[in-house]
Amino acid sequence: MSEFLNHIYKSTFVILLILLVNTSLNGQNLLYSKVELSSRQGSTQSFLNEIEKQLGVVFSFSNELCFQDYMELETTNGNLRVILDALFVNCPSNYIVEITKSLSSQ
Amino acid sequence: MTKLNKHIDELIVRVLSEDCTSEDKRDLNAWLEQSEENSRYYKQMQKVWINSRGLESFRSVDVMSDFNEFKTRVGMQPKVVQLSLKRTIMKIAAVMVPAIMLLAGYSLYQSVPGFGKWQSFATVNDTDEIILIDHSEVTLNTNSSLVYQKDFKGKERRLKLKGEAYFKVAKNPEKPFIVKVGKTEVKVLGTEFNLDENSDGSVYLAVTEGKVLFSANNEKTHVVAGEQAVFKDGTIRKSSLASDNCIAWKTGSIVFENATLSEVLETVLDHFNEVETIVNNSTETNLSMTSRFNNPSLEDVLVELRIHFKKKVEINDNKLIISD
Repeated sequence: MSEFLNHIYKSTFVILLILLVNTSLNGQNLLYSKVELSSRQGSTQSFLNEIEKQLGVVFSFSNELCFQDYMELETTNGNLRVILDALFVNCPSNYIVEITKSLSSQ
Repeated sequence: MTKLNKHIDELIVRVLSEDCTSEDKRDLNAWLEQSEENSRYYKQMQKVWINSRGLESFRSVDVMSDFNEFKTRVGMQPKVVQLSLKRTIMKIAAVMVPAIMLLAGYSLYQSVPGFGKWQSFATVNDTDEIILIDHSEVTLNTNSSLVYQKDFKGKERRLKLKGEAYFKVAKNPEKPFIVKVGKTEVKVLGTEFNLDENSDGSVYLAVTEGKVLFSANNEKTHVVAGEQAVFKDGTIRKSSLASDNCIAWKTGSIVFENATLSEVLETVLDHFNEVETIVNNSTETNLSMTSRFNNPSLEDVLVELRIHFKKKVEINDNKLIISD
């Protein structure tokens, strides 16, 4: 994974790193893990915080990622990829899942 | 009669000693002719006078001087010896040197950690924690040392730090807790803070709870929770504490909240011993990153740094090189 990451620093995409921390999920099936949000309305940050707690992951991102103070999702249920696509619908973002033991969900 | 005898005796003595006038001689002759008894008395006196000439030498004896000499010989009188300056100094030194050595020895005994009232604790490759007698807790970072009073008797609780340590000070308003590090001093009553002394003499203070008094030279400033102060180039500069990353060495937790490239690099330099210098050859960027780590490896952080700041990052001979 590190080898791959070393070569993407010039990527034009905005990358959301999804870091596996306190979860039994592995990198391959993480994006297809079920997510159920408590509300359709909220800020991008609040949705990410809720997903972090549910799945035991940590999101790592730059300020290029599109954040909104208020947004309304069409659905509160779906797999992680669907939810993230909905959160960043107007943002050309890529998701990279990294498995690491050195991250925490604090 | 006695008066007369006395007069005659004086007259006889004056004539015998030839210290007389012609009138004295005439009076004496007249007195001798008065009776045979007077003549006998004179002859007796004359005889005594002549015999007394053998004792003449005794008259020249200086009794006091001879007695003093006698006393000196038998040790009754102290000898008065004129001392040279060197000898005087030697005598004073003979008394002073042992006294000074005793004082110095005692002082050394008191000041050497582990023997007198001071205790020391040091770390090399691992961090370690000490609980002091007042229940204050000190966590020492690697390659650090702490010297502290064993019993904290007296009006203050005094400690000396080299390196880096996190202090959780037990409250005692009547006995200030004073940590000396480098040229600075931190005085608290009960609070939590991190102190980090760098090799260039600069000292970084970060307060996580309560309030401390930070002083260096003649400068003093209060630093409260959420603030940090840096003593560098002879002055103290205070600012807000951007994160708790300064105590990541203790907690293992590194948190970046919208951190700029320079903030991330500063944390990397502070936290990872394998990074000694940073060479940033890249162009300025407005990017910032948000992430968090728990006991990360250097590579864990560098991977994210490359991705989010879109920079090339290499480590070479303990030098972290950033380029576009």
